[in-house]
Amino acid sequence: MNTIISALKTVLKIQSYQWIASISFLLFLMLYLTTLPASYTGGYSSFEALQYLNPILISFSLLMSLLVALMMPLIIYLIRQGQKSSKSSATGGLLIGVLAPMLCCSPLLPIAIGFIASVLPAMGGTFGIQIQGFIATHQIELFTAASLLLWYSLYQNAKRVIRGVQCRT
Amino acid sequence: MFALILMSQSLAAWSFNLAPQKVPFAIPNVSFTSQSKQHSLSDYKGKKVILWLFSTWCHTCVASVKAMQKNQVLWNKTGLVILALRNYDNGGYPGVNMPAFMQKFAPKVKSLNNWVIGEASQQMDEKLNAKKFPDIYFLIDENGIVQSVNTAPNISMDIILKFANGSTLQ
Repeated sequence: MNTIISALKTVLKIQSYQWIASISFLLFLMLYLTTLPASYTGGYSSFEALQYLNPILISFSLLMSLLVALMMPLIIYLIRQGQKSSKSSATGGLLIGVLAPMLCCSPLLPIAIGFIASVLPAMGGTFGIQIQGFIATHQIELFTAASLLLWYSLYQNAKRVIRGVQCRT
Repeated sequence: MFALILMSQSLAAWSFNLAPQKVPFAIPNVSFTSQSKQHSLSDYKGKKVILWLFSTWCHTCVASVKAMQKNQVLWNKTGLVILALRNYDNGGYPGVNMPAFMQKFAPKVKSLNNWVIGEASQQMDEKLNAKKFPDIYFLIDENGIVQSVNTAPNISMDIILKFANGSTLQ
């Protein structure tokens, strides 16, 4: 936690990074607020989905967009400093958070599985439904996993920022 | 990261073709069970019907059953029959049974004449939902012709309302 706070103090004292964090927060909040309830709209991510928001989905939207918003300035800072940033766990967290509600109850997965099964019959049957059923019944666990991945990525990037600062001094 | 935003928003404009064959088509005469009795789709000839197959673990099904119950006044006016059937074997993933599901999310429909709650047969599943969509409905006119196939009644309610009011869908 101290690592993250120190890294954020270093980066966010520069105004341009404050802007990046603010804009990222708003953009990703909009993304999560319209995407997390997509399991109630058959995978359609739109403003129509907002009516299906509940306190749990709003909390996860706020948490995940906050984590991404804090991570974005760190990643950009690292790139500008010519250092490597950690993006794989961030991408994993984003993918799980965004794709899970879209795949849950939409026709997308059965259509994709049907197409794959036409080439590889072993992939047919109830394979798609098992995935959809799992996503539908374990959504909170999946959002928690996505948040943890984003947290881990934030921590990794914060560590690199601190290491970079220490190397220069 | 921004590609994700674009991708998620572009999915909104995606329209899926869920129909097992080109619409319009004659609904096959397949059976289902309701209140431990076997029924046939041909029993509903002469009536406007929405045949809705869903799995009880699916989120759109919860939202949709509430939305369908909310519009009951309109279904009364238009005489729409709602065949709400659980997918055969619940679509292949465990979940609560239909009476428990309806009691939880749409308790009023139990006493309504135009709602038929039941379970799809394997034959119905094979003929109409071979791709195992967790939520799919068929709008069947008085002559037994399927006029539209769609998903998530809660977000495609305008199509159901048009059909119930007798407007042309194609």
